Amino acid sequence: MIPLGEFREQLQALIPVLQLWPKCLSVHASLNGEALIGLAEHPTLAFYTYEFEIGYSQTYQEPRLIFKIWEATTEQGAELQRPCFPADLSRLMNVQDFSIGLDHLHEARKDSWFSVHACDTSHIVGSVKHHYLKRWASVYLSLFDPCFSNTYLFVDDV
Amino acid sequence: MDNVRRRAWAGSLNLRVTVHPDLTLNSSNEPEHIISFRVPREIYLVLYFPYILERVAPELRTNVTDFYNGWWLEMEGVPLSWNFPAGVLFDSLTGLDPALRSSRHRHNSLNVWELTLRHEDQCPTNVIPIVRGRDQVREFWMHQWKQACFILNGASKQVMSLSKPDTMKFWDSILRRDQNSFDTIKEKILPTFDNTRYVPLRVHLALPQIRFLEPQAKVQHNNGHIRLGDVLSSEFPEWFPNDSSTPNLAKAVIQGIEVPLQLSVWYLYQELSSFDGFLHVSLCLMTEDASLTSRS
Repeated sequence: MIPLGEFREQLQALIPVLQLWPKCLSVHASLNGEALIGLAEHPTLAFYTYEFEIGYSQTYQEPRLIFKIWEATTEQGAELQRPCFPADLSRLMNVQDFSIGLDHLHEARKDSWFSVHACDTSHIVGSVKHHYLKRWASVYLSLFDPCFSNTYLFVDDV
Repeated sequence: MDNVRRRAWAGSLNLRVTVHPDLTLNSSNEPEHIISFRVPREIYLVLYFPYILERVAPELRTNVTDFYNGWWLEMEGVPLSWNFPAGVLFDSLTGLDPALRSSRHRHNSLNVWELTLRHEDQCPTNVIPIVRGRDQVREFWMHQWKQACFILNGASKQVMSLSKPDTMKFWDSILRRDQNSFDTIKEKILPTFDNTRYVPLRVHLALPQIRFLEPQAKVQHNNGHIRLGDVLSSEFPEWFPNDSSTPNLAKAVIQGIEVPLQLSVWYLYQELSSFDGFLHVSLCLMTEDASLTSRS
């Protein structure tokens, strides 16, 4: 578990880490500073883009990862981005043992997102508070890119 | 106590579902395609989609290839999010004061909830797409229970360590309306009063926009029980002022019942919590008539 105040502090330190991730297209803090919102390209499939949000779960007192998958299509010569809700995520993502559900309605945008269930986060990340969010990210963001944790080779002191 | 729970479990809604004209074969001067039926308050409406679609399929323009994906119900043009218990949607979206429901429908002895069946390739954004049929609904419901369990116990292990047969029996008890089986498994999840961290509570509002809040509701403070009124006046002081000389501007409705605010959240959770592990409170703004009713 990570208290909300600690989470907020560590969230800012995560931005430069994500900027070093080669697949990251953009990342910024939300207006209220309580979440990071990012876009990342799929490691191998050019038509897919991930939109992700790292926020805080008041229920679990853990980081909360929600994401959407956008699929680029062309209609009458115009490129469109459409949300994509595949029934089997394992064909598109490195789902490993994560428990993921298409079950989240975004509080502000009122649209549907996948959520990575946070109920066993403390077992995965451990109890040490130092660099908690970076450790969390090294595990959970590998969902989008199996090589994500390589980013950390260069950012020990970020 | 048992009697209240049994009545809540048996609570039902009368639905009248009209198929949107865009979906039907006949022209607009034909009679509307309507089906009427009753559903438990304690169920997800989406589980009735196969029942509805099997009955209306011959009248539809296109073949039904999926009973879930792309379908939704709406009320007065507002798409319903299926992911709340049917009774909670009714209480929060109709905003009807229980004390006034019978008089408002005096020409008809039944309260009937009028809904419209819609379909598009993609659901409205506020409706979670169902891409894996009923399994997705069951997994969504289990996820609600994991959250509720965590809020109650500080861990989800009571739910996560349920055996597969118990998990399926738990789900089947809802589909088969078997309250005894449901309660037997629920007992394995619920802590005692003294061990309860917080009560899983969701407060639903339809105005000024449809949303819900999850206040952290402890069960006791200084050895006294926390009352629902304490939680609501803390979260919504403009509607539930602490000052006893100022009237409340809203009522709390749970399972279609206007509940006294002096009841403890623990008692209400025991009696009126929903099949997803949460105590859902819908706030109903008081009209002038309702204020008179509640004062008399």
